[in-house]
Amino acid sequence: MINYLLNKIFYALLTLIGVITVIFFLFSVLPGDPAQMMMGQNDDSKQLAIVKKKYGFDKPVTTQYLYYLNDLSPISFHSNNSEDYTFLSKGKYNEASLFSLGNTTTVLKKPYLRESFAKQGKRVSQVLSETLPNTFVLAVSAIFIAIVLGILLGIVSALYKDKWLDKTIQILSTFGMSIPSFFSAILFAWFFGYLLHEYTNLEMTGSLYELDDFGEDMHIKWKNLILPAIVLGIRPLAVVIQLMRNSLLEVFNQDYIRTARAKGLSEFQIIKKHAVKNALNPVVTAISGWFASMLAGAVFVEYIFGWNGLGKEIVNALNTLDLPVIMGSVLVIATLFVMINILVDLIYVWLDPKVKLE
Amino acid sequence: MSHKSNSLKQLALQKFKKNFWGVFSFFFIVLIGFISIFAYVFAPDDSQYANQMHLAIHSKKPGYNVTMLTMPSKIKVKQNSFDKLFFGRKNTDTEIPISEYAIKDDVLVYKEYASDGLEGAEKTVELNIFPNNSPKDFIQEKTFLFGTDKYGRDLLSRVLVGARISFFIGFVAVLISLLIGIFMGSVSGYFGGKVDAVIMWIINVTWSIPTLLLVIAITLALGKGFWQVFIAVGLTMWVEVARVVRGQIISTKEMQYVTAARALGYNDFRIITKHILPNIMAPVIVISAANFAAAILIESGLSFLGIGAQPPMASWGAMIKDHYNYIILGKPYLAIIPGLCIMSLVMAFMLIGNALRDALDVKS
Repeated sequence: MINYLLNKIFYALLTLIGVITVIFFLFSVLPGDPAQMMMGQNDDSKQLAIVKKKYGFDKPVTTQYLYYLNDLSPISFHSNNSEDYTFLSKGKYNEASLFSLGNTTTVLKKPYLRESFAKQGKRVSQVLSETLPNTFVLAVSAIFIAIVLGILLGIVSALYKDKWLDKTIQILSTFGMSIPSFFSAILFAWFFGYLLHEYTNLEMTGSLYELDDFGEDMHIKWKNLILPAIVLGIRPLAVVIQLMRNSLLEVFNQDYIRTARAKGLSEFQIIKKHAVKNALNPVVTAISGWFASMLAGAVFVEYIFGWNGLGKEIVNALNTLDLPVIMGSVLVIATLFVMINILVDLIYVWLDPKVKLE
Repeated sequence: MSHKSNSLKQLALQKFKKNFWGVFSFFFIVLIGFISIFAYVFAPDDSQYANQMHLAIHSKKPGYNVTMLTMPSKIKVKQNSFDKLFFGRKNTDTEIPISEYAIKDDVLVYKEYASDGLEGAEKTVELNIFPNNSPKDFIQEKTFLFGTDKYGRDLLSRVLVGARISFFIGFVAVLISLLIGIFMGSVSGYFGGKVDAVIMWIINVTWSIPTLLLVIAITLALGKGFWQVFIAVGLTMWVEVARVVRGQIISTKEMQYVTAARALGYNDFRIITKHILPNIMAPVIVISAANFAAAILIESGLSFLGIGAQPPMASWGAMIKDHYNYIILGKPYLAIIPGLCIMSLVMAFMLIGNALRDALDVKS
């Protein structure tokens, strides 16, 4: 078990290094001078040179890449020369020194994601820690809706196979997969937040935390979660319905279901005790897949509903070309994705004893 | 004597024909494909990108009617009919919506159209700018079946021309994803070992970056624009194809016909392309239909964010971006019409994918 896990984690690290490499080189071939982007309208050449030096933009790309890796790695090497990029200036890394060898210090630290271009001097990690929890709440609610409704509708669909009920659910779920999330978000905001506002009392836009009427305190507003969570849940819901239906239909053909029937168990007992648990495997395996589509969807849903999450932050960063924020967001999402994959593998092993740890 | 043929292809075709939604989607896609090729023939506004603006009549209701005066331009653009047919008329004429006009002596007096009961400015123009001194052919009733967008362009024409991008991106992205995916997948599956490990690593890396964000990154690196988006989407979607092809090849390469081919001394290239690939095409076809749908969705999303096709090019996603503020101004159709277009095209590809999966008996 330990070996299995270590193997998985090692491979995950290898994958992440690949992700970092791809992201770094994609963003470093970007047309435009990053130092100039940081300075905005200011075109003082002296200051530009200082900025370039401070962030290492004056070095060749490969050196910059090594700096980036060094910044991200929990164990990193730093120069004692204050002229160098890797110099441990105060408050930059929040490191814990391990040991010094000659001119370099080896330290232990949290991955350093650098600073935002657009928000002067704000750390990317700060930006992420402000927005990621909101996205997390949204994503979990959406997945919850998708799983509960999806499993239920999937069961109904499988039970009434080829009847009109099944066909309706099938068409609706294809519908759900075809609708672009920004379009469904617009429709829901318009319909429930505007046309039916009197009855639903929901707003077209709003985030989890809102200032109260006096503009003093931040208040949590669960009401604002309803529409975005439903919209974000549409696509995974559609996927779960299909997966659940197909896998249940397969399970229904198995011998043990026939045995259960022969024993005279009620149809409800058969589904509850024998069919559903065995049909859940593909649904669990698909979690990682939804997670990806979820975050892509979250970009649009958060943007339209004005939800202060990572997705909205990414759109903002795109408009201001705030590269460190975009890179940081992509890295965090990829890391989460890789971690969830490991988790899903473990759940899968637990659900299906036939799968061997290798 | 009737010849009853029962090849696998024909069996699949028979099965496909029985699937109502599959056949329906097929004809729907053919229709949209035809429309998008000949978009400028069907579009009431056949100027390039259907970009004839009339700010005076912006965001009018569907079925809106107005008298339109066309001012012929002195600049004549030479354009061959092929170019005009497929890429739209290069337009230099100005169109002015007018409320009334009269011909006095040798001038044409017209009143510009003004909405909300305002009086439009009265202007005059010499008759001799029109051929034969007769402005008759240049003053016409115009109907905007879907209404006009926020720049006063004909929404119907924009929708028709916009179909092109959605359709085209599907083709290009699927083509690129097939080329890279089949190559990587077959090399990885057939040779195994270190090659396989490296390719699997590349696949996993690409897989770990959310498609939308990777496409955004590639688009930013290549520069905004519509070809860039095509390439970016293709470069992210090959992963699924490669995975499927690899899995299929691993299970096929132990089959007897492959061993037989090897025993006959055929080289690897021939074995892969002539013996294995034709036998594993079914799941690849199914995946391609899904990828087609996914590509359309991604393109519309990028255009919605403003990093896809750039104006004045017509794209459904960009049309929603331009107009979704109008839904609370009582003109929701401006955003809903292009939205429905995206949805119906994506849905058609999904349904055709499902029908193909059933017909070709591919396990999802």
